[in-house]
Amino acid sequence: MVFSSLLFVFLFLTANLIVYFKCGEKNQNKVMLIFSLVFYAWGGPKYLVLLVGETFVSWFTAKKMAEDREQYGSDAPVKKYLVIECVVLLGLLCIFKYLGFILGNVHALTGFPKSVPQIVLPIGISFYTFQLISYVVDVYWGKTKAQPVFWKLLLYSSLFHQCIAGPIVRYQTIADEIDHRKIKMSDVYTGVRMFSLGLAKKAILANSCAAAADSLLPAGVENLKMQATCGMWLGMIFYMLQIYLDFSAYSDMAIGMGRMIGFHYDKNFNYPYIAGSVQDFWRRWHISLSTFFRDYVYIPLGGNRVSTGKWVRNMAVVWFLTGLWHGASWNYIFWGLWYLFFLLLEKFVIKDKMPKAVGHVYTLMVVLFGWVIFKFESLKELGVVFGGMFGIGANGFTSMNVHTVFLKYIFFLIFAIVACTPLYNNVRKKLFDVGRENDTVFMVANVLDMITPALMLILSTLALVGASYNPFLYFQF
Amino acid sequence: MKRKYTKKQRQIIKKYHNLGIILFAGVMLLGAFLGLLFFARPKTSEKEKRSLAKYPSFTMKTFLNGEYFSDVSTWYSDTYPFRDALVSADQKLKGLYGIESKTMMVGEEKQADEIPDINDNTEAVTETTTAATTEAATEDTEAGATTEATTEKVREVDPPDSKGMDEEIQNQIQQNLYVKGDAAYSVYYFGKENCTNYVAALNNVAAELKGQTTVYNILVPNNSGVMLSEDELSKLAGSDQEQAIDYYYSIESDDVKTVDTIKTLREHNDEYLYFRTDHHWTQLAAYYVYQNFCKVKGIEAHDLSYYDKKEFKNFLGTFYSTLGNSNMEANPDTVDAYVPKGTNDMTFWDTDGKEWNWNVIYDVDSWASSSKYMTFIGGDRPMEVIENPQIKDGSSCVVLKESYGNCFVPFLVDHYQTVYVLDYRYTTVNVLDFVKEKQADDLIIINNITIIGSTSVVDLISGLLK
Repeated sequence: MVFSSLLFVFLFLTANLIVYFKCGEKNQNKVMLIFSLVFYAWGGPKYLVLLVGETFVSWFTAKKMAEDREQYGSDAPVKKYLVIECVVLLGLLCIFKYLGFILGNVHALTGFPKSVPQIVLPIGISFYTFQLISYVVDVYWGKTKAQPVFWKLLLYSSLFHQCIAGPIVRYQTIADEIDHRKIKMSDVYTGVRMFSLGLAKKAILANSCAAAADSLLPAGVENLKMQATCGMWLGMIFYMLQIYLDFSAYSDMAIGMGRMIGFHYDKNFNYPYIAGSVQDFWRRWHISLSTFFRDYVYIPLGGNRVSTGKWVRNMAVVWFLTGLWHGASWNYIFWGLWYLFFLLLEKFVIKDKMPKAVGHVYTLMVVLFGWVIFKFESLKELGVVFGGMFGIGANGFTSMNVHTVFLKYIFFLIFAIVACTPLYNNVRKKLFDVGRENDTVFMVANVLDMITPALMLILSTLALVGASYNPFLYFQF
Repeated sequence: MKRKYTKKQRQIIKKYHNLGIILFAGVMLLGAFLGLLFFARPKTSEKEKRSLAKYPSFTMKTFLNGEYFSDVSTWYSDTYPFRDALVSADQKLKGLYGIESKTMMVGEEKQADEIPDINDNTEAVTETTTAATTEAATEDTEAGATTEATTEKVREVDPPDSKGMDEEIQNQIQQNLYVKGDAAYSVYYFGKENCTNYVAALNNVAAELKGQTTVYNILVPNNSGVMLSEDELSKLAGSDQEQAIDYYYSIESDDVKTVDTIKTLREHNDEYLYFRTDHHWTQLAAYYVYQNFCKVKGIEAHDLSYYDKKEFKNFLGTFYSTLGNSNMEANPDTVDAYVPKGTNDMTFWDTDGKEWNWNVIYDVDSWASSSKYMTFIGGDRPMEVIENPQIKDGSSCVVLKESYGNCFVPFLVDHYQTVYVLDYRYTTVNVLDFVKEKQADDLIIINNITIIGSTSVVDLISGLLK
């Protein structure tokens, strides 16, 4: 089930919230667990076994660590449990996510094996694997206590808010809130607002960007070759907007739903497209993933407190893995290395020499071309678009088709770009600021706050019903 | 802290936030309530002219791989109550996204094949043709004793997956639209392989029916090829339709009689030959092609004034459904329909095999503005039969068509005792057997040029003609 579907909003989430608030504090965790398992099973019940199994291994190894330390003191040899955890979880991730890719490459090089198995990627495996590893490693490092109750750890790993599309919530962030969380009305309001804005961002903005991007950049080398240079640029700009609006909307919805019931997840995006450098971009983009790699890979490797050579190696490892995490295909690896290149460039060459305005433009360009690499799993398509954007092999500079799309989306495009900036939040803050002294402005701010969630929900519903609009020419009934 | 509100202000904020939660919860409960009104869920969409998703049936396999649940999700949103109204509201909103320009290009351009020169007739076609013919001939000898075609039972073929077909055709014809003011024009792309296969199927059936039934092929161009000036056409991507039709006709065997369309239609292109808001041609255009058909067949065509004319105003067709263009909305099309003299009665069978008594020109005045083209012969049906009581000579023809044929058929009524119409997308009978069984004088295959460029259509037609 996806958050941006009518079934989720009007059936699943509504039922979840009603039952949650009616069942009494004692049963709330159980209610969340049951709903989460149903939610996960919606995408194919067979993978539930994997989620429960991985959680069990994590629960067991962490518990063993805690018990051994209790029994034999803090020096007890518990590393073996960490090894078991990592081998099992990363092993399963490799099998389900990367085996097809690895065998495909081996096959291309050696002709062996004869047929490459097609393995379906279990939903959310990239996210919950990382969540569970972070839990066991934190227990190993003594940063958090082991969870004694299995189903409570399962609640953490399967919680439908973040299980299938992030953010990668650390166990320690919500460890206390599993057993003790207070629901404040101000939290409920913030949650409702974040959720509804996230839903609108996904259903209206991201989906429309996707439609525009898909029409400008149709699949297939031959089709892409028919596009003009301007069409490729416009298509990629829509794609760039789509990918941020889509992903951050999902995080907003997850964080919002958590807030409604008293969970506080950390921010996952912080307006990445206003970044002044590539390094800055990665502090703002998918924060829960970059901090995961920072804390569990980069720093254990020595971080930056090592020789320059080793530091470059550490960076290379982190960015290779970051690329690979996004998908089992070469273009994702190139995408990670693309960022490695610019991060090294900033460290050794650019430093702080770039004027601010230039820095913003440069960052946006690096990110935009990064998305080109990211978008096309087929290296041939990637080549066509990369070349075409510089006029090489494109079908002319511009075309009537491109003008039509541009004009058709012109106001929307401006709006979507503004939606990537903190403008709305700043205006809202300003209104409340001025409102302290001015009653009219204060009322405007309050009324806006009051109607925003309901209005966003209504607009999103229209967009979601409208998304299934699919006229048939020849069919009659 | 920088921001400090008075106690009163804090209370107001709290109050409005609580109201905000209540409003949100109210909308959510309303949405949930509507979603539970199963009886209010629409089964079909008037606006989109399609049946909506059905509730999936449960199987262990689809349950385990998640398909069942994903179908439930689709069903839930596809049949949400008040769907058509909600979709309209969403389209109004989307209208605010930008500016609708007077002339525009919608959809994707695609790669067309080069149309080969007529003069160097490719060997490939002849090869395929002979292969197909020999194969058919062997089959015939194998059939042996049953030389009397009439006694041969009509073979059933598997019904086509009409939904997939419709989608494919839709993609074909609306792939690339040129919009000018209140009219849209579809761009044509020639495909060599489909052309060859289509012609091979026709040549095969003509050889098979030789001496018994005359096979006519009518290829109807798209509106762009007829209505746009040379100047405008040259600016569009895609292939030259006149050249393409010439090529199709040139590689057909002499057993297939061809009827000129595009040259005549272009001569009349200051008249109302194509709808502006729909991808079909008008019956007036079909009339000019009917005149050409009569010339080829060697009979005299009736004058247009011979027929009673009916007029159905306010037609907003498929281009409008796709584009939602406001200029079109402001200036809808009119469907002119000419009632045959001999009879206006007909019978058709729907996809469930149910028989209906209907009219050749049905009064669709009260029908939805999107459905006016359905006045002709009951729309697209697996089979339609029109008996003309004025003619007693036992003459008959079989028309194999898609929706372009619908407005052509009424003109045939006054020339045959019986007109059989098969829509190849819905029919389940083998056309070759059917023609033999009915001992039809003529087999008229009439198709729009874009539609027969679709691989699945060509496969389907070839299958029916084998």
